[in-house]
Amino acid sequence: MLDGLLLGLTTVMTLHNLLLVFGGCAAGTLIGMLPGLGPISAIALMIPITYGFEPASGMILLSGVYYGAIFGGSTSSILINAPGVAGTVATAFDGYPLAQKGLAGKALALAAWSSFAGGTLAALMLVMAAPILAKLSLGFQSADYFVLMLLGLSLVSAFSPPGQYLKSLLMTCLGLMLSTVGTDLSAGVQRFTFGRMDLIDGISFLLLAMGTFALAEAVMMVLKQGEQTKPVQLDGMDLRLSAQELKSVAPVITRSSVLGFLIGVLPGAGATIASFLAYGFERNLALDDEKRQFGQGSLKGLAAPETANNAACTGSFVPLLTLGIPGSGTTAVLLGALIAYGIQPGPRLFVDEPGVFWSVIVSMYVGNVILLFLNLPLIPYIAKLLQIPRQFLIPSIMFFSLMGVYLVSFNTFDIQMMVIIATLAVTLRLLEFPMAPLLLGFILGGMLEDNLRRAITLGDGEFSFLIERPVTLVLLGITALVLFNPLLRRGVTWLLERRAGKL
Amino acid sequence: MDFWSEEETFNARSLPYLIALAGALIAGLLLFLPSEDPDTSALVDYQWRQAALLLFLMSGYGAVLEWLGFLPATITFLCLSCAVLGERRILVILAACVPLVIGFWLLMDSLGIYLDPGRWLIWGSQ
Repeated sequence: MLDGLLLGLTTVMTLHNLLLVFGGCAAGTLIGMLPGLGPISAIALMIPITYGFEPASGMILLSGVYYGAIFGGSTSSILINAPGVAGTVATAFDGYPLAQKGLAGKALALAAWSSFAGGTLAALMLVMAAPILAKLSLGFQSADYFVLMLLGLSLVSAFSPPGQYLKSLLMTCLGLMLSTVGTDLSAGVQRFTFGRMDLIDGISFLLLAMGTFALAEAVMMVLKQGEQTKPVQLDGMDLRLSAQELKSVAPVITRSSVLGFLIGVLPGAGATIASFLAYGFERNLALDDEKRQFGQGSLKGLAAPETANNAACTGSFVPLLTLGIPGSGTTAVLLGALIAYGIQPGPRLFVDEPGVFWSVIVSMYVGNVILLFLNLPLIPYIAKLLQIPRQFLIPSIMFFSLMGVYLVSFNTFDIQMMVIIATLAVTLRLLEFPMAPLLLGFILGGMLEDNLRRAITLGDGEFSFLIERPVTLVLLGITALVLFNPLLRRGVTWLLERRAGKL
Repeated sequence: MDFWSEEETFNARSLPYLIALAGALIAGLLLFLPSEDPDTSALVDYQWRQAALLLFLMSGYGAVLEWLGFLPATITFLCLSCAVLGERRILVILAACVPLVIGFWLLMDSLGIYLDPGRWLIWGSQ
């Protein structure tokens, strides 16, 4: 493990890569701060830039963007009560009241310190957990991977907001279906290309990510033009925290880091659930006096979700780096980037590409340090971006989204397809269909099919591979449990109500 | 598909069939199970016309980009988008859009990325 850490350190600690982490953090903060644009859009917008770099450098830049975007989202939550992403909604509960009291600088500093501490503790846990899990998963076979991917896809739906379970599942199916467009490499057959040369290679994941997130978000901003954001007061911010304040939030940060990391490791759970759970957990633990302050500008109420969402971001790298299975929409985009660099993610990544594996882990930590010491003092200047009038901001987002895709293929067909995908995405979002499961289904679709085909071929055309190995069977059992969880819950509630009625 | 592929247990058609089956089943459940309809009251106040115009502009940009060339097509696209979103001061629009596009073009040029100057120029010089 020490060798690996040293390898990661030597890769990251070059001037070029340090500049990339800094650039990534700054760009991520800038994009993440824009209401509506979260880490997925930020990473998707930056991927075309990384194509010219070494895979390790590309991943280092994107990790910086990820952290920056999360921090940027917190900044807009605190300053204008407009969370960029769902993961920073809980930050606004106490962050915005603090800003209204004239303590915006303190709130931003605490958010940065909490993110730093959460990220650092989670990075330590990642260093310990990832190699062990990677070694364990080396014994996995195609059948196990197939069931593991099914589990990942069903977990995303299981953790979806109330009432959106079936919609999430349907979007996963749509994503899987879109992944079958193009040439089936095993048989050399074209599928759903409608005879068009432009579709022979399938739909680019970058196009889909930009269309469903960045571009669709720009159109949503146009649609909701009535909901204007309030002007930001940036002058005279005091970014200092007293030792007493830091001491009072230290236990909160420790607890929320562990909670956030563990939730982040679960595929499908991610930063949103982690931040809400940590907020609720700390509120329940607080004494009566402190409890009343939650929602009114409590420092503990701000530290808990901020720490947990950053720790969960780090945790979500565990299934990505060790199993090659993304746990969230953001890690799905990162997985797409890895594949685009020609790297096969999974347990072999640890063995075949130790440079990439360890440099991602080390860059996470370096990213946290940079966010705290370089980005935080720049926040009053970066936050001026929130003052750009939307009639200039929205066209710029549209332009960069379109160019991001066009500059990869130099094919204007991609621009037309992106417009169509963005239109469909906006319609689906208005009908409250979530987009992250679509992206996850799309990215996992190819791997799911390859593993299923391999497992069936090895099993002489029989489906008995599903029950032959204990690992596969256990994973299949968990998948079934997760998939039918809402049905089981309803059944149990009905039984309990019936019993209570009888008594 | 080749005839020997058709005989295989798992071929190029298998996964699309399986997904279609699962999708149809879930869509059916979504239709027939009781659920809350999304709140559509806010939709009336949405800026549908502006959004539709912008989508049309993006599609138009894709259609003329290679013919008109990067600089003229992008400047026109950005200026029209600003105008659609309510900006009426022409000088302000130009001051915001032209430097952005030229700056982007110079950056791409310095990175060695070639952006089409437009087919009309090539035809005109022949």
